[in-house]
Amino acid sequence: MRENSSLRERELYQYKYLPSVLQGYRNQAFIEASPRQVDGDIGIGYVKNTGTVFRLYLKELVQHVCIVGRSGAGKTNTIRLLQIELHRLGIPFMAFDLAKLGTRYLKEYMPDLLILRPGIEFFLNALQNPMGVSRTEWRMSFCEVTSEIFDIRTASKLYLNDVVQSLYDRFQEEKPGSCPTMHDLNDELINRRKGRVPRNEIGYINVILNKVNPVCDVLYNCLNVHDGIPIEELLAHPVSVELVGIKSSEIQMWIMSLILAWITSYRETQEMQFGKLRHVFFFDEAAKVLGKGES
Amino acid sequence: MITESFIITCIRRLREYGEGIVFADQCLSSLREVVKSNVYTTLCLSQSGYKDIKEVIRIMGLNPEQAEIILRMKTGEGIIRKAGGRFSYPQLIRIPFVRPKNLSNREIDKLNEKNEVIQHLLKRVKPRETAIEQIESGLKVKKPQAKTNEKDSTSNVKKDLKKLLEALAKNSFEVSTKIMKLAGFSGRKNGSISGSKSVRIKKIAIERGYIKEHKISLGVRGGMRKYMEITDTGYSLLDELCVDYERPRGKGSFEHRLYEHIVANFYAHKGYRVRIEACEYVE
Repeated sequence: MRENSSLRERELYQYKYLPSVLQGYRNQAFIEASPRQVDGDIGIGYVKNTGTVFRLYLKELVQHVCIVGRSGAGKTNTIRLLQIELHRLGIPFMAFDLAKLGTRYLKEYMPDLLILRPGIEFFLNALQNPMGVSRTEWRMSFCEVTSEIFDIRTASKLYLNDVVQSLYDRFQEEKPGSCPTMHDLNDELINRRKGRVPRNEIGYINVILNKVNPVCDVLYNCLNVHDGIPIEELLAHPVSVELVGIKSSEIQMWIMSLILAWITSYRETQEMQFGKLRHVFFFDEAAKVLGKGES
Repeated sequence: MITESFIITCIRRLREYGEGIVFADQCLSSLREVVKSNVYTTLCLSQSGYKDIKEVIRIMGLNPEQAEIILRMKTGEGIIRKAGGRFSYPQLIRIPFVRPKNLSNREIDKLNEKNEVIQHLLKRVKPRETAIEQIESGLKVKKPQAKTNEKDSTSNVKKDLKKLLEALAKNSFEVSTKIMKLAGFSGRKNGSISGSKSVRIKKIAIERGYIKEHKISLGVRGGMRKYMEITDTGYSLLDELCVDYERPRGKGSFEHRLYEHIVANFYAHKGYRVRIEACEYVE
């Protein structure tokens, strides 16, 4: 779409948007930027009342972007625009559709977009450590994310850590080369609860089971794998993971955060990039995880 | 001790490895300060809440004229600001509309079936082995065992049920708690089991139809008293377990027979010879 550049329309905009500003001073409320100042790689929109495209450099995108707006303000559209621009530049991204389907509609613009649906094309083993990352390190990351999302307190988190460790050890002995799954964790907790365990441990087990059990129920097929879809390979493609069918926002956030933690652990085994953009992660409904807990 | 969110730590660490993150949400005010301070570019689209508008003005450093515009922004218009760099002043921008093309699940099914990348990735997925798959692959199927496997095994439950029914058959008209004590289910002394287990065993016995529970008021202090009665299924289990027993004498409902027993017991204590339904009462 092109910006209306006729003088008459510009004046109309000015009148409409800047009633307190004297006429004759174009776009006075905002300091006018020269085209060089808003130049870059990724076009994000037109500077109002001028035809200049506001762009961001890729190195600026590495320092993260925050988009806020009420529902219907155009957030999804902005995200779509960013995704098309990234695709144009050959930068892979990963987006999650949480409340409504959005990214899949960009298939026309990017034929190589991978649309993954849980249990159909998207399979995840949450306990599978990223390549080059030790199981101990990943175990801690998994426990941190799970306890943070499901609001599990420290004592139960440490207990979860212990259970996951024993599960890894058992699999190492019984099925070397195979990784335990969330269902195995669920079974292990149920078996522990059946056994003779101290009362405080029963409390920890119940706390964890109350979270793990629904996750296994909701994502039964998606989590029922020893080796999930290789995330390291997904990082080379534009990917949309559709979590719309999962009605629990906690479980959606758990998947998103876990993948974010997975990417972090995986990236740390690789070389530093020092400002070079390699991949973009779209974190929708960010306040659910990174909020103050008010909404 | 103040601990930082693990996910925020991840976000911080990711920057150095070339991973950009685009956060999106409905209001700026609900995001944590640490997130806002870790973001270079902030794009604020139309906002309606007073708190959110105030927050946008604060975060983006808008002057009164610019602030006034937030209230009047249309769909697709926003104020963008970078934290420093070439041009760190807020700018009013208009975002072009990207027309999406509808795509049904069936169409995605077809597209994904043909998609070589997805098919290649799916080949790497290894399903979880169930017992059947383990047998097929020639592995010995191991049954997962609990840490302590003695507690809830079938044989143990059966043993406990036997104890309970034995005690109940010998003392048919005693209150539940006393029966449990006689069966060795209450208190932790002398190797007996905990109260919670006694409740569980009683529940299992009721569920399986071996016993029935009655709550009867005797008109004395202490409210309703709980009694247990062995059912025909319970007696068949006792037969199966080769336990000697004698069915309590008397006819009619359990409550009727209980009163018979109480009255008979009272007079037997006073030295009378008591008969219930033509059978001699033995204390």
